[in-house]
Amino acid sequence: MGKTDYLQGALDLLILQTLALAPNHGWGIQQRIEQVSRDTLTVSQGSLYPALHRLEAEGLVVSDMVRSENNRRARVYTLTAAGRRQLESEHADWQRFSLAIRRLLA
Amino acid sequence: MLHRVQTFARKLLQRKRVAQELDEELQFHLDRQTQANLTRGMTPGQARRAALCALGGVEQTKEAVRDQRWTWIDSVWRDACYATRLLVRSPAFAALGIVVIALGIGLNTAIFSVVNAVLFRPLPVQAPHELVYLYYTSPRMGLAPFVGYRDCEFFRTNGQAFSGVAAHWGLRMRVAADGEAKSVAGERVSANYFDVLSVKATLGRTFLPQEDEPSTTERAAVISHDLWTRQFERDPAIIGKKVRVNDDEFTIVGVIGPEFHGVTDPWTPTHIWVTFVQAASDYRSYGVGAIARLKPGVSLKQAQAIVATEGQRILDRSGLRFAVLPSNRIRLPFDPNGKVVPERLAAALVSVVALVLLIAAANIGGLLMARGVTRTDEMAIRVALGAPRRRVFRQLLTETLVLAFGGGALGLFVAWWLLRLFNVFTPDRFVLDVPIDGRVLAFATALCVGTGLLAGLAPALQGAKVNVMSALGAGTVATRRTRVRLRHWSVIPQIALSLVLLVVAGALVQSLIRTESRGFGYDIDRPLVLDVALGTPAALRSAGADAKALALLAGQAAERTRVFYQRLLERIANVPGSPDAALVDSLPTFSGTHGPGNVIAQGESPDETTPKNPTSRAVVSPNYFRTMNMQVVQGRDFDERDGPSSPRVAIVSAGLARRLWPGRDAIGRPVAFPPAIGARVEWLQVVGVVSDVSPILAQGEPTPFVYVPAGQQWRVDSRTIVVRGQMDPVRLASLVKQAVASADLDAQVYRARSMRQVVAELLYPRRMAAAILAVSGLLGLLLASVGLYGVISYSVGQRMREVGIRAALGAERGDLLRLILADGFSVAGIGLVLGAILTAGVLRVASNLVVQMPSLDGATALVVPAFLVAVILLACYIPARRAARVDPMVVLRDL
Repeated sequence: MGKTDYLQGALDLLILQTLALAPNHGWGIQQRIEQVSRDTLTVSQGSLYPALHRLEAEGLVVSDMVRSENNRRARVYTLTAAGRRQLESEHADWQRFSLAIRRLLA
Repeated sequence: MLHRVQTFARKLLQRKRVAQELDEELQFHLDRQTQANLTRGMTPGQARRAALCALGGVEQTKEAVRDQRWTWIDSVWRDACYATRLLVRSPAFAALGIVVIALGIGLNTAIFSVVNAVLFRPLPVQAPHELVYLYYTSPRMGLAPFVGYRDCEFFRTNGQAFSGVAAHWGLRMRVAADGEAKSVAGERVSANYFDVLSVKATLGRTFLPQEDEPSTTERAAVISHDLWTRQFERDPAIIGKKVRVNDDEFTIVGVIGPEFHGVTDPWTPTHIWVTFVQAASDYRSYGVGAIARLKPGVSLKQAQAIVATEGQRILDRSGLRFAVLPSNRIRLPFDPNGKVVPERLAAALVSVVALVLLIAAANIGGLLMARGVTRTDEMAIRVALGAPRRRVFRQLLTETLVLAFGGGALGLFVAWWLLRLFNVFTPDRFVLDVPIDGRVLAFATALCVGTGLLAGLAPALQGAKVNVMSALGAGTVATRRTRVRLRHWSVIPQIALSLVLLVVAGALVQSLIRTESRGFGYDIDRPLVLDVALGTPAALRSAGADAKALALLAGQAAERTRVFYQRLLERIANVPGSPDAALVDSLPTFSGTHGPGNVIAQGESPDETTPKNPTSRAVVSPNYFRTMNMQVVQGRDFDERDGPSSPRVAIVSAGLARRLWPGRDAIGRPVAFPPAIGARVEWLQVVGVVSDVSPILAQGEPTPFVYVPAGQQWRVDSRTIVVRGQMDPVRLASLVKQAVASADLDAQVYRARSMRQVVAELLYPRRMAAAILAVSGLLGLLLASVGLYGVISYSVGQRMREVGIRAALGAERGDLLRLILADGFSVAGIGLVLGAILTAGVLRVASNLVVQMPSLDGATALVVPAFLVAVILLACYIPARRAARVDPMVVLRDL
């Protein structure tokens, strides 16, 4: 399997999962996803930021501008309670989905 | 959901900051990516470029982020901004649309404000929903607007249902300060009145409990802010000032703030409050209005139950019960049955004026559809580029809503101006404070939305249904035709509604003119009407309970007043020009009977309980009929012969004489009024017959009248003097005032009006209603005719090619004229027929439900439609002439 692009729903799930561990900014989220998936998953950077803003508009994350080193400001995102609930339910969905696929292929 | 609203609000208000932060966020990302690339060994230039490529372009990302943020509200806002820009670019159309809508919304808002001020506005007190009114009610009479004073006291001490019960009664009082006397609307109240209502004084204080005790030393009065401003010029030393109210000296102890006007009819605000006990000695037998505040925790239903059970204990008269009604349901506390301002009448007026708005909406709809035809290309391109039709529909509808709200904003100004005009024409006696408050604004907003939707629905459908192929290809005449039809249809409701408005207005105006020109049987042009009062001497007031002493004093007072009025009439007769002057106890202007209400001729039993001859009675002095320009048809007028010791006489009106003694001579016959229970019948001999008088407001027969001479039926109370002279009325009035002052030091004229003014006050509501209807009708007609002209004119413009071809093929001018006129008339004809049906229906429904609609007489039924047809003819003819004059060469060259 090479590097693949994922659908929007999957991207949401990855973002939420990443933020479940700790608040992070866009760059950090992207790095972490690529890191943990050992480069199997590439996040299309052009779709990362729209997704983050959409999640915020839906109330699943909140964000704030934070001053980092060398005086640059970055927007840091944090998971909300609603986001956590969404993550759990999507997690369950994915489990069921992958189980079904595995059964089909077996 | 809250999140969406918050982010939307943030976007709207902090656009710049949000854009800046997005910029920073992406810059941060780019920096980190560049750094990562540098550590991988790229050169700074390469690193930067690679970072940009990876991100996929900063601007595109920003675009993508912005797209994510779009919600439904966002797109509506964007549409609204675009619509505003479009309107700005076509100022003529925008101005026309806004003005038309503003007229419709302004008129409706003004009417609604008046209805709101009279019917809907709650009392400006604390927690008005806790206030209730107590009334007597009986199955026979319905609600009586009062309860007995003693019963009011009973509920006050029995504190089960109410935390406080206050009594009040509105009446006019003579207030004299610094020598100037004025007749002022006041209320007699119990001392806890202001406490029950929770109204605080702005200056000084309200009543103390001890002011419910009789006192002669210091009587307290509270005045209104308005009175303080107008009569006392905001005197800072107002507290403690002494005034005379009716005949007694009172001390002003407080001023009540500008927003409280007493609990009474909204158009006669109260200006002075005094307590029952201190103002009148016989208050216990009065009927009073009762206001109560519900005890905390007691609901209305519970209070009603408590009152019903407790009330049974004290009411032994069969059939009479107590009623407890919430104050927000009874807007006129002294008219709980709603006879004076029936709510239905208000609803009817609002509906009629709404018709104008409907016409305006149809008009704008037609205009928009015409304009929409020119925009088919624009709509076709939008649809072709992928916009869902629903989106196009929404955008067009938003455009109309923006126009409607623009019209609504201007409409508020129109309403404000109309209300000012309304105040200018209102007689001074009625003071109605009509503010534009929250409820009115909400109503105006609802009108904007409604008008926008109504006017914009058809044009939006027309735009969204655009046929892309035919619009962007070569236009055919066939598809254009169907759109022309849709525009024509907008004219039909306009014409129909105009007809309804004009006929209803015409009928009412006609009946009003007929009423006024018919005359009332007496002169309404020249007589002056002055209300005079002779102060009752203090001795009579504070006399004890000794009946004999009271009777003696009463007799002395009666004699004193009789002498005074005799002297006064003599003095007035001596005024240069020798005007006629007379005394009367009540003017004949009111309809309905006043007085015993029944008269019996000899031979009838005085025990008849059903009024067979409802009659009015007036106590008049000699010369009354000459002053009022009434004719003594038979017999004689009263004169000095008719004194207390001479035989009792009376004069009857001609109509009554005909009824009681048809065909026979009335002179010398006896009449009487039904006596009080147990008393004997007192027969009066008829010595004269006078011409009839008609009441001003009723439309039926003249009122039967019996007149008795003042010399024989003397009572101690204030009288009305009518004076008719040749000279300038203002000078005459001041001369009469001087005569009054010289006849007795304690006498005063507290109100002086001309008969014209009296009549105008009574006719005012009708005149106002007729004016509103007439204005509405003409406005509707103007809109409809302009709309028709616009539609026909536009259609002619579209058909120029066709007309040119016809002309080239040999059609005469007349043929072309007829072609276009037929087009216009077919549409207008449908409108007229529809309008006629609607009018018939409206008149029938209105007669049954609302008021007695004046019957449609032949003149109105013919004149109004003829007028409408003439206007329609004109509106069609002008464009038709343009078509007929077409030069086929010019048109064909453009083919």
